[in-house]
Amino acid sequence: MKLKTGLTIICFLVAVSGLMAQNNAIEKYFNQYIDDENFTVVYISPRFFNLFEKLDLSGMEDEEAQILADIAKDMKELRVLTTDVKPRKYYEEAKAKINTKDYEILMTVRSKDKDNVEILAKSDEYNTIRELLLISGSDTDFALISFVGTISMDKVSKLINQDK
Amino acid sequence: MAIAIPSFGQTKSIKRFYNKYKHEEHVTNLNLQGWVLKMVATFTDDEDMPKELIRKISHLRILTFEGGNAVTDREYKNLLSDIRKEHFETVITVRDGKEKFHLLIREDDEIITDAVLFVNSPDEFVLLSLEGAFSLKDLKHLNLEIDEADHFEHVKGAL
Amino acid sequence: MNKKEIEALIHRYFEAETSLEEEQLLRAYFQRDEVDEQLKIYEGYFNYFRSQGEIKAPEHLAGKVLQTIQKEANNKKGIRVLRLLSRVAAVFILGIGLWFLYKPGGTGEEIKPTASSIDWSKYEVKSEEEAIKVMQMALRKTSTELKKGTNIATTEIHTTKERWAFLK
Repeated sequence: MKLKTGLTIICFLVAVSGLMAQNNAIEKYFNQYIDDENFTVVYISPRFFNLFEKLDLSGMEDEEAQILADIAKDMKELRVLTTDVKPRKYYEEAKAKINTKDYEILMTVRSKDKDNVEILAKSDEYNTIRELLLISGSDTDFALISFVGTISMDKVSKLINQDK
Repeated sequence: MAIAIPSFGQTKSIKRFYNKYKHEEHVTNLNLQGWVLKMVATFTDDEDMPKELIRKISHLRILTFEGGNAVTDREYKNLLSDIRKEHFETVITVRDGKEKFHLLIREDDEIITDAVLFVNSPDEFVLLSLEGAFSLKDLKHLNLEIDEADHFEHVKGAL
Repeated sequence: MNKKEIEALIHRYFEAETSLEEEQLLRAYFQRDEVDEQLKIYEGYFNYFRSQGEIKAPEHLAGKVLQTIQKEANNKKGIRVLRLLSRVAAVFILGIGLWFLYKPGGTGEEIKPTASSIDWSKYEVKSEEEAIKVMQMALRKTSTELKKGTNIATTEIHTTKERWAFLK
């Protein structure tokens, strides 16, 4: 058996590993929540985000819709996990699971209404955000939102400032 | 002016204090990357916003207590002394009745890398911590008047 | 010697075609500090000749295993068979080694295979309308929270300005 065959096996393994790699925090750290019956799990696949690519954004009148569509067309996947059971416990637990070497904390807030939120981002070697992760916990709800794709904070801040 | 890379990093005593109180009742706490603030603040048409200063903030922390101050005098004193041990110096101290205000800064080669403001009164406590690369002029945007001559005299004297 | 040349030599080694001199070259290469990441897996073969004082255990379990195979191949008869067998093993182990090396997004601590066993299609939205609704909700929530946080900062900055203006 020559080294060539061996290299073919290696290439195959590397390619397959690429397909199998976890590109989001939910799979990396929160697997058990997916099977937890307390949780509602929603997934939006690339198929839906592709629809936004074909939209003609310039024609849109609703400014918010335009910005949302603009953000959506660069997205690949969206995962949302929510529960109304023991939200504060899940919040603390979830925050602790994340490896801050991979995910940069952009913001942590606890506001007057006692809602806790943490927003994190994972960037590639060019400093482009490839995943935006939101963890929130209040008295009533816990939510985990993972946006995977190319996330432009520029566009997100347009959305923030648009809503006045 | 070349921006020096802050060589001190985060302040342990501030972090510790922040983590200790962030879960208290009536507490609002915020931990924010400077560039996120900059991104959002840049789009605002608020003329009063010190954009010059905001540009230079790399990291910001706020801890506020409303409707009561849970920080005892002793804890506050200890905090101030712990902060000073981490190369901070008090540049402004004001007492107005029962309200106390402090401004402490940390420098690296005449560039202010950290600025911490405290408001300590019976029914309110505020900690505002800024990291970045500031000049005295930048801090004046917050109406923080540090007498330049006095200040650098003090620093030189310490060398 | 560059990586390609070393690789070629390793190839010949497994074919039992290398001369003593060439094997010497390989051993010398693996005694260096800067062995190529992808070739580290072969260390076990070539560095067991180091003197007692400087023996460095091969970094990879693979190396240790292969080193044992090599050590036990005392007779010439068995050598060819063993080399063939260990070559297959090496290729497989190299494959796994490269997989760990190139595994995207993994942290150093994750040794377990990262196969995605979750069938996300179970949780997929059923219609475009639902997709848009969910996406809108998610983005709105994110922007609202970012806004809340940055507002706290800007409000406090304002308040500070007013406070200190008053105190001046």
